[in-house]
Amino acid sequence: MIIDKSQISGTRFMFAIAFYLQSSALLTSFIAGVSEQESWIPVLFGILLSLPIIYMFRTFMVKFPDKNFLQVLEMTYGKVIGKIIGATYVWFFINVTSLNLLDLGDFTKLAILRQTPPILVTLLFILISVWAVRHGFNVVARYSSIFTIIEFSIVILSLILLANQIDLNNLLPAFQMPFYKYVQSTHIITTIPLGELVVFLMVTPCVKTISKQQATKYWFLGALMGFIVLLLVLIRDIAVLGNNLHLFTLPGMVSLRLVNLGEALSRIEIIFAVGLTLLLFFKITILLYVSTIAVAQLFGTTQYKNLALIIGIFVVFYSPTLYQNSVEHSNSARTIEPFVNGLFEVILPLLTLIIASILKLPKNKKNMLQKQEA
Amino acid sequence: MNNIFKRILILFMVIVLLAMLGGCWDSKELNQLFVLTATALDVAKDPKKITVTLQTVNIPQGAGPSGGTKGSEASNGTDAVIILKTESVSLLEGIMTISRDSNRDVLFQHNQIRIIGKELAQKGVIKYLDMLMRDTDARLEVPLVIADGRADEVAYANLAQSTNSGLFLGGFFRDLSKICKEYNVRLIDFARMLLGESVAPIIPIIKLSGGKDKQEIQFIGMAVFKEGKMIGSIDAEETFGLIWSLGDVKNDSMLVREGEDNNAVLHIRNLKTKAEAELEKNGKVKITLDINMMAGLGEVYGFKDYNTEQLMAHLKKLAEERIKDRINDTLLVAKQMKADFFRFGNLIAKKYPKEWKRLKKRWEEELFMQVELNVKAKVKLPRPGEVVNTLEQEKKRDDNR
Repeated sequence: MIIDKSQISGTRFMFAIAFYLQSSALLTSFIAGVSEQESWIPVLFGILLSLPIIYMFRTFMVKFPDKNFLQVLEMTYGKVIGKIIGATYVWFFINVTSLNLLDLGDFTKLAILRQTPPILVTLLFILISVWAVRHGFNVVARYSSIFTIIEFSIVILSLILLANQIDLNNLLPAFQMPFYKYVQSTHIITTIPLGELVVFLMVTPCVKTISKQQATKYWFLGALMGFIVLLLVLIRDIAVLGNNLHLFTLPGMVSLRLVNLGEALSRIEIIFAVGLTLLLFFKITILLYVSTIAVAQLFGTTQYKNLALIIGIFVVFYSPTLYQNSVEHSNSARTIEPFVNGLFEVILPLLTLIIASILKLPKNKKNMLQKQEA
Repeated sequence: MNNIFKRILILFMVIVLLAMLGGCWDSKELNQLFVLTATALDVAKDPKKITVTLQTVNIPQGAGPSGGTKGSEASNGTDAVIILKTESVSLLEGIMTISRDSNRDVLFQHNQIRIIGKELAQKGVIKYLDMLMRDTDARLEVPLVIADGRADEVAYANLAQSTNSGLFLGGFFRDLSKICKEYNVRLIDFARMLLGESVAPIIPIIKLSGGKDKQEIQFIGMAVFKEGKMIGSIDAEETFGLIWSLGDVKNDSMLVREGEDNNAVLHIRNLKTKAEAELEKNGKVKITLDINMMAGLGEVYGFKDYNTEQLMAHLKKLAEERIKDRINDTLLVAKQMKADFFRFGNLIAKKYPKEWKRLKKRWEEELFMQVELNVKAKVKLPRPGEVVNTLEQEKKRDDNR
């Protein structure tokens, strides 16, 4: 059954992927604590490592063009096991949504509205996200194209304003840290920002029928745009802050604080706050949409609009309970989360794909395409 | 019925939202604030405590949303600054005590300078900087400065050039940083030097001099730190050597002398330095500094026996020698102090990372002393200014006719 009947074009899908990846660019403090000044090396490796993973996601989209991921699970593993694995994915999606909402709440509490209880901010946010989700994926993704360009301009602007404080020597020396740190950082980068693209497997039915080549093109072009921004932001932070990088919880914010061109063009870290709000809003809305569709699929209903509000409120109250403080949050992000994410983003989809190929699914693919075109 | 109910509900929500989102919660009027311009830290009589002095701008109590003209009447008889002072174990504790005992909130965003007294710097300064890095309000680009003497006297000072020494020092370092970035040591620069590879951080020193009313602040050099404690200082002349070796100096001036009667002042338009490090097998380090200076002629005394082209060539040579001598002298001072404030350690760490791991421990005590410095200076002196010959040269030419 088709839960959400809205359709988006391939280009909009591409921008959605790009914007999703850009959202993770501003939270580079995950790996800064591990690999400090050399964080750009694990990011490069992580990008290379994520290319086959993205290819795997694109294969899902090409093979099962009108089934979202939970439906694929049911087809592959049978109804019972499929629904059980689907339930774990529902847990995963809701968890990721809550973590991002927690990031937003923490950031507002730290830097912008320091005396406001963060739950007010997150509640208002979720209400708007729910409103967007109720109108279908078309509305959710429509946001992405123009804001990709805006965010890109903000990054370029910050590079220009910091040009006199950038010292590319801070990127050296390279390859001086013990080997396990590189492995750990690459693992973190591949699973936390880059692997979360797995959520786009749930929106496959909403993308208009596209050919194999186009699917590849949209996935990889979108990912490339995201990678460029991620690298630019990281290199800028390392070049400006140098060996201070790992001291700060929000390196991007600190970099923008140091802009001082004349008297007027200083203290522009509010641009960072605005950019982060835009990005996190999009990420949370998409994740909320995906969680809602997943729950609707799990329980076999098409009435996802009513579910959206319920899941939204649940996420608002669930997110502050996840960690006791942000130190625990960063600790878990460095140690436990990469493994949990890796299971859902890489291992389970890979297993599903292998089993699906063995079972020669989908059995009536030609019929499916014909039905869609009709 | 339902429609009207819906409309009333929407109207109600709009009114509530307009009232709540107006943001009156956190409003702070100007007459309820102490606008902080300088922070000064000193030793206290109790050796475990420090004296925290906050210098704020005096905004007359009558000013604010109600009167403008009333305020100017009140300010005629009062000082321009209000000093808040306390003794406490840590910086934040001091600030909290001060805010508790005052009727206004302290606004940190306009803090222009942070002054640390010399004695406190010699005891060790790192632990007091934690709050400044952790707090969101405290800005990282505020310059640090050491006061030769007590920092609170600088805060109290009534200068000839400005009634508020904090604002004066803020502008002072802004101007200096246009000449060379290294003069302006912000908290983040200090942190970067502390965490650098065997590098001795430096902070500018200022001295307060003069009588009771018209005091003056002078830049007297740089304080050198090791392990967070001030171990010595270099004076303004020696600072030139450091600045010229770190490079990127604009719009400064250089004094060139030959003998007693011949002086020339050159305008440094641009001085750029490239530093290269070479590590030899036995651990010896050779540093080559390639200095390129573009200069203009500012003022000439004496040099009677030269005509213009000879003078320019001669001054070029003198300037190159002066750069070499100055940098070598300052390096000697650094070696005596066993403090690598030239940041040669960083150069070697970036170029020879594997060897640096082995040599790091020996750098400060041994290897830095054996650094061989090779200064290659190239000066370009294209323009003599508005006048072709000095008056003395003209007279001599006339006499010879």
